[in-house]
Formats: sequence, structure tokens, C-alpha cells
Amino acid sequence: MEPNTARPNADALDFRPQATYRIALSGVFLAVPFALHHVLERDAALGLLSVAFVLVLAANALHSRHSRQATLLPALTLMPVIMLFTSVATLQLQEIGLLWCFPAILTIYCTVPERWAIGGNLALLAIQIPILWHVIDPEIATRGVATLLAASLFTGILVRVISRQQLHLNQAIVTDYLTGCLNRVTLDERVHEAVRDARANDRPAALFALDIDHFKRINDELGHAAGDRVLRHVGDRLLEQRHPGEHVFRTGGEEFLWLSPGVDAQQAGRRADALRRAIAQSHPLGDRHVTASVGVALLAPHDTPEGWTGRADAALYDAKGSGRDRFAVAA
Amino acid sequence: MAAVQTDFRPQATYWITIAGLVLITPFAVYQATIGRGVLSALGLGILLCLIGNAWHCRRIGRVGLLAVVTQMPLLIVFVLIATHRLHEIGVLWCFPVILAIYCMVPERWAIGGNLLLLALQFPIVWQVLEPAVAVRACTTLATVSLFTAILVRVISRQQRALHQALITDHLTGCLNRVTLEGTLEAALGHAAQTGQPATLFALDIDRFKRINDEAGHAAGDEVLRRVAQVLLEQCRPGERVFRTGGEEFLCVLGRIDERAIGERIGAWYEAIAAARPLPDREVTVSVGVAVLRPGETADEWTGRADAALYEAKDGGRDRFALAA
Repeated sequence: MEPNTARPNADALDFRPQATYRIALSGVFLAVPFALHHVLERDAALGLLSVAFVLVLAANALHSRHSRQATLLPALTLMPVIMLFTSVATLQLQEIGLLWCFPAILTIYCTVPERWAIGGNLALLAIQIPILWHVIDPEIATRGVATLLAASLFTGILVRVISRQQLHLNQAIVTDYLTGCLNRVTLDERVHEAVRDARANDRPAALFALDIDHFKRINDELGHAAGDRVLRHVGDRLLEQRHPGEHVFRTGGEEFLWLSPGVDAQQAGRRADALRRAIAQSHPLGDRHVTASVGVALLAPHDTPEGWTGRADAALYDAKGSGRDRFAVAA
Repeated sequence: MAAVQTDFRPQATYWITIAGLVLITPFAVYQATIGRGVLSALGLGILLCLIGNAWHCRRIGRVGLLAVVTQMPLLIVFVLIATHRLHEIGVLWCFPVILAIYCMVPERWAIGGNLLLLALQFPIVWQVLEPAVAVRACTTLATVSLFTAILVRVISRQQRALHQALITDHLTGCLNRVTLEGTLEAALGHAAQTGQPATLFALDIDRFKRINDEAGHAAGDEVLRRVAQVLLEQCRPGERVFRTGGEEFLCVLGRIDERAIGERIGAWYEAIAAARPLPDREVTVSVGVAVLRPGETADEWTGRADAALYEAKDGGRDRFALAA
């Protein structure tokens, strides 16, 4: 078992913390003069709201500065203040309030998780549209509504497209491109997690190390294309047998690792044999027999994650040593 | 493996076009019915441009410069004229325009376009609106432009980092197999166009399994990293180093003659020996070299490099062989 490689430098999967920091910070500078203006004009409602707005922006900037994951802080603080501020501003200052709605829409989408942002935007539009009809002449109000809708839609589209692309990219990063199994990127994390969960809930867990027998020979004699076909085929069989909550990794050339939380000794033997049989009974290369050996290790009370995978590997060597196309359970 | 799209613009262009058509059409029609010829013509132009651009973008699979030279100027001119004639209404349309430009046009062009738009728009706003509203209009326009620029910047950087992680082998820092096929196809295409055949080096660490079994996996990983480092350090612009399997590497180099092949491999051997990946034993590599033949497929080409590699292994390892 090779020690795990570092996770790629792509933890920051959500653009919101970084965007929140920069937007909140620039927002503070942009909003301060107007807040001061309202305070000096002794406009109580708007003065109070705009000061609150600046403070909330500053708090969000500080909070998001070093965080890598989006939190609900902007949704619970920034969004309500924005709603209140834009509503009061449009009621009291008409066009001016409408103008502030545009940066507000963007700020919500950039700082708040997508569903909340969509909800927030719908609420903002639902509040603004009647007010606009009430306070501004229809010619402008129509355009106000249309452009607010356009801005909200365009930003929503942008955020949606980005989220989907980042999801796909992240999936591609953790997936083995050949077999569709997981690759090693998340292996360490998953095994540690399984050990933690099993201990916390006092449940069993099993690890299966699987290796295709005589794979090098297939590669050398039939070529890499045939080898790849066998790997894809084995990956497919394994993924078919996967239960919810289980993880199948391709850990090396012809090595796979199967992580089964909740599987006890009795089930583990059955599962290992089922895996072995699924591969032995399929014929990716026609006449030529393709088999695999399996090593099973049940999580022992004093296992470290590394020790656990090591025992599964040792059991795999046992299975190989005693003739292949079989499984062995670690001592 | 299916290509993973990393630019949001093609898809955003498509959906924004659809949303734009629905939202703009009624106003373009309205302007035409009340006899505002210039604005309705511009609106119509924008609609046609949106459709043409979305179609073009779908066809080539990325954003081209078409949006920069057609859509962006048209949108800017529309907003300026609308502000000049209809005051607040023009300012209002400016917000979706700013967003659309950032979503449809490559980043630098979008920033340039936005600066131009704001520079031209501010004097008009001052002229046509009363100061209290004009200050807010300018501020909110600048804010929206700035916020969108921030969003696009943050996203582009993240997408780049993600894509880098996707195509890189995490242990060695070489490329992984994700972009191998595309690189080989590109080399084939380049050779067909220019007559300059590329050269493929299949490299394998000798007796790596034994190193792993005897010295442990950590030592094996260290060997992989050191060898990869040598290959990457000696890599010249345009050359690519892939880790294709456990202890196998594939280097795609441009056209080099037979003497240069020997020199290049000699330099690798020297550097690997100097790197001393293992304190107590020598690490050597075998290399198979295949110069691309006219009309050859990528599979045949890599097959010949692999065959040459086997030949080098059979010949006693720690050597290279040129494919027949």
C-alpha cells in the first residue's frame, strides 16, 4: 500500500468565501460615504439601516477572510439587511433605491449559497415590484422591473453554470478516468472517516483489497488496449456490486480497494467471494480467463487506518500465495 | 474521458441569450411601434447579434472574438444612446449589459469594455440626471461592474486550479493520462501540417517492483518523484511529460535527430544518477524511443515506443532502444 498522495490544491471549491471577502470589503468603502450622508441628513431609517449595512458588510468581510467554506452568516445577516435597506430606499428615494437593487442582487448571489440566493432574489423582486409601481412612473417602473429581472436572471445563470462546472471538475478529479472508480485523491480521507465512524457508532467495517491475477502477463501478451479493457470491465463489475455508503477505489495499476462500512466478519466473507466470483465469471477477453484475488481485513479495535489497509494488503498476498482466484481474511 | 468544460462563458452565453430574447423583445417591439427608430433598430441588432453569437459559440465550443467585435460595441452604443435619450431608462439597461459583457466576453476584453462603457456613460449621466440621482447611478454602475469583475476573477482562478489538479499526477507533478490522448493527437496533426515529426520516449524505472517490495513504498514514491523531477527539469517549452502508469513515463518531444535523442537520454541518465533517489542502491531506467511516422495512428506510435522499451529491457535494462 503506497502512502497516500496529497490532495490537490483545489480545496477552495466554493467561490463564495473569496468573493464574499472581496465584495464585502469593497462594499464597505463604497457604502460609507452614502451612510454618512444619510446620517448627516438626519434621515433616521435610512441612516440607521445604512450604518447597519456597513457594519454587517465589515463583519462578513472579516469572517470570510480566511474561511474556505461558505457559511450561512451572509444569508442570515447580509441578506436581510440588504432587503430592508433596498425596500426602505425605494419607498423613500424612488429611483435611487431602485439603483441600489442592482449591486444588492449581485452581492446576494456572490455571498449566499445558491438556493438561499435564489430565494432571496425572488423575495427582493416580490418586494420591489409593487413598490416600484407605487412610487415611480410606469414608463420607468416597467424598465425597472425588466432590468432587475434581467440582472437577477443573468447572475443566477452565471452562478448555476459555474456551480455545475465546478461539481463536474471536482468529480473528475476524484474519479479514475479509466474505470470510473474513485482514484486515490480521496482515499486517505475516506478510510480515516470510516475508522472514525465505526468507532463512534460501535459498528464493524471491512476493507477488501483486490488485485487482478497475472495482469502484467495480459498487458505484455495482448497489449495495453486489452489490459485497459480488463480494468474497465473489472471496474464495472465492482461498481455494480457496490452498496450505498461503500466506496470503490482504483489504487494502482491493477489494484482496487473496497471500503465497506457496517460489514461484519460473516458478511465480509460472503462479499469477498461474491466479488471474486463476479470477476471470474465474466469474460472480458473471450476465452482467456480473467480472475482476481481478494484480501479482507475487518477493522480491529486497535487498527490505525494505515494498519488496517496494510492488513488487507497482507491478506491479499496470502490469497495470491495460496494460488490466486480466491480470497483470504487477515488474521 | 469526456472533456471537462472549464470556461463558464459558452454555457452562460447560451442561457443568457435565451433569457435576453424573452426580456428584450417586448421593448424592441414597443420602441418600434412608438416610432423610436434608432433605439428599436439597435434593439433588433442586439437580438440578432445575441442569436448569431450564441450559435457561433455553440458551434466552436468556446467563446470567440465574435462577441467582442459585434456584441460588445453594439451593447455599449445602445446603452449610451438610450441614456442620452431616455435618461434613467438607459441607466437601468446598463446593469444587465455590464453583466452580459462579463458573461460572454473573455475577461480582459470584458474589463476593457466595461471601463470604456463607464468612461463614456458617466458624463452622459451627469448631463441628463439631477446630481443626487447621478451620483447614485455612477456609484451603483461602478459597483456592479466591480462586483462582477471580482466574481469572474475568483471563478477563473478556481477553475484553473481545479483543471490543473485534474490533469496533474499528484505524486510526481507530471501530467496524468487525462490529457495524453489529446496531446498525441495534436502532435499527429502538427506533424501532418508541418512535416515535422514528434518523438515519443517511453521510460520505465528498472526493477521498480523490487524497490517497492524491498525498500518500502515510501522509498518507491521517492524514486518516482526524483525521476519525474529530472524529466520535468529537462523539459523544454512545448514538451510534455506524462506519468502513464505505476513506474512508467511518457515524454512527448518535438522533432529531434538521432544524435540529439542519445544526448537527451544521456542527460537524463546523468541527472538520475546524480539525484541518487536511494542511498544504498543505484536507480536506472530503460527508454524506448519512437519517431512519428507519416500516417501512423497514436496507438501505433505508442505501441512502437512500448515495443522499443521492451527491447531495451530485454537487452539488459539501463539503456535505450530506437523503435524500428
